[in-house]
Amino acid sequence: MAVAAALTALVAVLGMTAVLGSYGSRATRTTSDFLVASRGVTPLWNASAITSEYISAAAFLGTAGLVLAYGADMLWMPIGATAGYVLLLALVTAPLRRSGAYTISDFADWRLGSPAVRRVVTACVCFIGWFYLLPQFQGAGVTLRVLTGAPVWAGWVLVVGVALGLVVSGGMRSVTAVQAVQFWVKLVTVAVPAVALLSLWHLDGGDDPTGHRLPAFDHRTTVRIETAVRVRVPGDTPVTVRGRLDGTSYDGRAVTLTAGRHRVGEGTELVFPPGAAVPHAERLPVQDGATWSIPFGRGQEHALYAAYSGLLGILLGTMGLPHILMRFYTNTCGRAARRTTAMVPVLLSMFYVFPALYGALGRLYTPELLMTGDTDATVLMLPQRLAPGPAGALLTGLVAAGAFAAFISTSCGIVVAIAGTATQTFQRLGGGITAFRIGVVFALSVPLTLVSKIGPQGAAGLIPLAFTVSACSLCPLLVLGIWWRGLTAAGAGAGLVVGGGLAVAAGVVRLFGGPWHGWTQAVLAQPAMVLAPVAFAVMVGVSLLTRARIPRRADRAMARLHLPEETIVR
Amino acid sequence: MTEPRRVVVSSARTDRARSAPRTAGGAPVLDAGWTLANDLDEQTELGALYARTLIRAQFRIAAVTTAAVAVVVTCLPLLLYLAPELGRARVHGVPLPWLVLALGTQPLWIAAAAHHVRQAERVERDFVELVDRP
Repeated sequence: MAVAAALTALVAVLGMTAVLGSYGSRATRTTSDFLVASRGVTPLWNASAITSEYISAAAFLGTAGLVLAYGADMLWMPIGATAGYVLLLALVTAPLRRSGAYTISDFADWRLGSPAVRRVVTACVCFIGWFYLLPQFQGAGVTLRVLTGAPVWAGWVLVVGVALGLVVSGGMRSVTAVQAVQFWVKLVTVAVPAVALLSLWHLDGGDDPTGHRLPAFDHRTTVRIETAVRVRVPGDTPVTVRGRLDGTSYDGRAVTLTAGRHRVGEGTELVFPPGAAVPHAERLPVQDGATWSIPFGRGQEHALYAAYSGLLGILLGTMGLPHILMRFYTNTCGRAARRTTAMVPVLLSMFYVFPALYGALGRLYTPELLMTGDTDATVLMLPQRLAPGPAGALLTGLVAAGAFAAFISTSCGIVVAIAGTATQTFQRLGGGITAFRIGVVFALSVPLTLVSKIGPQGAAGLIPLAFTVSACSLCPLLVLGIWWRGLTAAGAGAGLVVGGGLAVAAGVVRLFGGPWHGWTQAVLAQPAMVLAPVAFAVMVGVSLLTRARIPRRADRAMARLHLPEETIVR
Repeated sequence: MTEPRRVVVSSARTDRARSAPRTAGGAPVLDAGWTLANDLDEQTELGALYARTLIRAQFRIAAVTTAAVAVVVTCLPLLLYLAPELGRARVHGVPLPWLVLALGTQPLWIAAAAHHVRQAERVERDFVELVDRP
């Protein structure tokens, strides 16, 4: 029944997308309509669209999963996200809109007059976009697999197909409409089940997830391991195993899992008795409810640095996300762009109340996800656990609709951003809309070829990486370009290459090197606190060294960025 | 803004007349109402001065908002790190840090955003009034 509900939700979301999309493409008459929705989008509508693009699969499913696994330490992320929009509002939006630039590359080219910097910015945008797209593909695959048992690639194909159809046929206007409506879809589909689940939890006796005990199976539980996993078992546990455990095949025999590390093979089924402590996937911390519920409770090394650096990465990273920045172009003027941004923290706060709730309930009702490592599935699995039967199926359908909306809206936004930025490069192959369509295919094809090579764990780590790259490259470019007349093309280029390059390098080293310890580990895991100041310093330093080459247009550009539209004569 | 600029030493009106809007025949529209807007547009010294003043005013507002965000974002983790007993405190059975982090800080951001918009728009309004004054 849950499968039927999930499929209905999928069809409903796709249907809604198609209707809104076709409405948009009928209204699209000219190239300008196609690219920028003719700048006729109202602040609330645009704010909904922006928030919708920001609430990706990572926010909708990932945040709850991270809270389930790591606890209170993950509550900093929503704070960084919401506060990031306040900084975006204070430092970037209105001037960026007044620059009249459609993409950040256009902005850099216009402000600094350097095609070379434009190319570096385009590269940064592509990297950030692809790091962001890969987890969306992965998330769509996992969602379809968890809900319907479909193979993982079905989700990838789905996301690519929808994004391609929508973006190629309708351009920005239809995407705006789809995005804005999908924000409200996501809010309702996360809020209604959350309230229902809370009441059910209360009726169920209201177990406290923050008590002094390790997560445990409430009743006899069968856990099926989809991908081979190394687990840590907190205490000797009697289990029945069908499959491979520590390299030995079992056929439904009772064994004792001794405390310590074990390897569980793909497709293995383990049956746990009631009350057994949950083994944890090796990369997740084993912690009781009390330490889980307190920030810095784990006594992790350099925890304060990790919290600050993570926060800084999200704060600054939010300022440089290319798919968000592009949206302001659809506002009529700088003032409307500012009002739009001011609404985003309101909408985001409404949404971010709920993921933590799912994460906490997950400690009680879906603890086996700590073992399989599929923590992203928390939101999708909870309804069936708390309410087996039709009610649970209905709630599952709701959260599934929200999850699908999350993949589609973020993917479309990023595809439009990459395609719009890269269009310039494809101009030779055909002008206007043709170049844009080639860009769309380009934006989708790269992650599609990579997605099968990156496991789900790797994909989850790419979102923080995207934020860090943005914080260390595009954020300094925008802030300095908008507020400091002395920025030169050489300075901006050097800062982008050093900051963005080091951020990507740190990410790659952490994914494929190691294990690391002490400060090395802490800095590689959260490099923003170190790299963002370096990027700013390089941009300022090199600009000061090349002071003689401050672009001639600097004064005019600064005036254009900050003067209200009414005072411009032409 | 520091680069030396050649300034024609003559009546300011000459300059203005030269760049003032012209009729189809090419004759300057008499008394077309030169305003500060034209100064801004032509980047005259006066225009540049006004533009600079506006940018400084906007920067001050942006800096205050940024500082406010920075203070909150710096103090919260430090507080919870240095005073772990705060982390263990409970309100109606819910751990205090969860209430503060998930609900308590959001109104601060919303208020900061609203305040910033009001301030920035006020500066702009004043500026536009100044410029439009004939």
